[in-house]
Amino acid sequence: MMWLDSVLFVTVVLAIVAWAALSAYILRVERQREATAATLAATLASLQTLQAAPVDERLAAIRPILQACTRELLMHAAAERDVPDHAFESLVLLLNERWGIDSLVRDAGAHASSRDKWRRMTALRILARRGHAQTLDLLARATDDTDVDVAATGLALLGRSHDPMAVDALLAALASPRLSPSRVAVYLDQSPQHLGSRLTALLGHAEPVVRQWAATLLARYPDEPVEARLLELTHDADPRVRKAAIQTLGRIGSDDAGDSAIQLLTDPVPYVRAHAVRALGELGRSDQADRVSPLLGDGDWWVRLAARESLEMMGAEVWPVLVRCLDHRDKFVRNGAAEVVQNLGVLDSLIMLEAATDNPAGTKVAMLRRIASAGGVRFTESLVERAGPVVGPRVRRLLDTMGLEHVEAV
Amino acid sequence: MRLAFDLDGTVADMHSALAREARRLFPGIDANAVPRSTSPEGDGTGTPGSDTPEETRISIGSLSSRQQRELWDAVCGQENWWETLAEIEPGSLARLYRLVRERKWELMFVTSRPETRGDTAQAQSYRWLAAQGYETPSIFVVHGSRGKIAAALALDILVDDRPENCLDVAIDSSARAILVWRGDEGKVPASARQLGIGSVGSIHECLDILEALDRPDTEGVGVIDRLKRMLGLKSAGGRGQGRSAAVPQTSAR
Repeated sequence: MMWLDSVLFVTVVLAIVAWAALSAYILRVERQREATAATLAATLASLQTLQAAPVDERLAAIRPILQACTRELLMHAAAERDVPDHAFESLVLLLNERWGIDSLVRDAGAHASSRDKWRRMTALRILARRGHAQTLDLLARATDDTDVDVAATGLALLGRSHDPMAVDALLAALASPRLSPSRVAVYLDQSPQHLGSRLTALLGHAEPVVRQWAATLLARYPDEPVEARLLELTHDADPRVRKAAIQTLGRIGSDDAGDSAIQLLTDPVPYVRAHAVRALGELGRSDQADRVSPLLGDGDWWVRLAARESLEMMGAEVWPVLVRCLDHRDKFVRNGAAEVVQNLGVLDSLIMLEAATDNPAGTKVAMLRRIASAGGVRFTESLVERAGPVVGPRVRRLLDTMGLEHVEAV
Repeated sequence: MRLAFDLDGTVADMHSALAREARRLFPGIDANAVPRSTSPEGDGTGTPGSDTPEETRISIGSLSSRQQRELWDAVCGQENWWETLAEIEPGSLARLYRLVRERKWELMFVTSRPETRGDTAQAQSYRWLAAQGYETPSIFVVHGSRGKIAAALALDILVDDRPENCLDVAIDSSARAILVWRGDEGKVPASARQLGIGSVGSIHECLDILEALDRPDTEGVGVIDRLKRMLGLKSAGGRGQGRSAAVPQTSAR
């Protein structure tokens, strides 16, 4: 058994040594991290105090602090988005002084390892912020990269650019089969540039996805004369394009847009119907509430939800249409209508008027009960109080008849 | 312009006459417990000739259903009782008649009066209106939803004192209802307004509005829109929402 004791002893010793080595490594990394953070903090603090000073003076101040720092650390510091411009300028000058700006251009051009990839993305951020002459080429190459992170970095930086050519690259990326069009569209939507005419030109693009996003993004430009083109696109063969066209028309369209939305209420594709119905709400077409209300019973839940939202957008004026729906044969229509009446906040008024009537009809009370039951409404005593000394007690009796729960006024 | 006016509670003071009868039958009864107008669906208040089951109507006044039935039995047993009523606002019917002739309005009085002893409710109403200065009235004695009546008669405006009738008009027709609310309850007109129903405190106020409404339009605004404006109602909703960012973060839908 002697050999077993020896093995156990050696194992224990090895475990202790491994634990000690690992602990030492963790402590060292932690200390390095703290030192790095302290160095960066000291650098930025120094630059903050010298922000109005000449560049030479700023560089002279940070050189000793960053003397021992690595290139990665300096890149990391310079690539932070919240670094002020004067500090960014000083850090990039120091990078250039020690390693040359070409090293950044090389880093931004390609990558092989994961460490290279980090350097590439960081270099792209620095060069884009600096407005380097090769930036657009490098960003375009990045968007073509098979690595999704690199491509996303390229798109994001193009989206922030004020250079019109950056928009060209993004619009080209919209048609790329490798990139997610919705992601590209997000960056186009965030662009600081006015894209109205550029997007209008794409409404006739051969690729449906490009037409779709051009139509969608045009919602940002209500002054762009595109209504006629968008109205044509509501007849597009691709449902995504029809949906995008009616969505934008709902935001920037006129009465003609309402007519197109009415036609799309019977579109075979549910999401097109949903956007058409919502567009009517956004256009404030309360005169079309009668056409929207049947969609409260659509076979697709999303269309039903959109119909409720649309009727709510139209405002309290549509309550008679909703009350008529309370007797509809479809329970989705009945319940949806009751819910919208509640959300419009007109139930109080209906109760008040019924209570103010001498001996209201039982059918009316049943109607109020159906509306109330859709949302489990609880009435505060304030409704009774606001009704005054004569109608107030009648309101209370009506609420009791309806079986609604009373709560204390808040 | 095609108009309809309700009679009882709107232009005819049924409440005072009914309250007198109620005090005779039930001494000490609160006058507020007496209905101000007749129900369009016939009886809910116990008027004779009703085929509406009692339980389908909710009694929220303080006169019991039995008392209401007794009251109406007594009233309907009197000969030509409808001609004994007073005008709520003396002179208002004469003014209305003048306006109808001058402006060439088409006007009909709509009522749900139950029959009493003597002549028909329509004949009594005719004589009563003529006696108040409305010389050649058209009267429609009808039970049922005022909204459906307004739709069938293609009315532009119906003036009524019963909020429930005004709701019916809003639900079942394209006519505009004007509620004549003489109570001092501030909340009722506000609630009516929220539902697109205009509210006035008197017939004279209502006639002022109708008169102004009938003046030649100088702004290119339609009659209904001008009526809504005069009654302090909201105009048709504009865009419901502000414009927001165009692109959802995910999905092509």
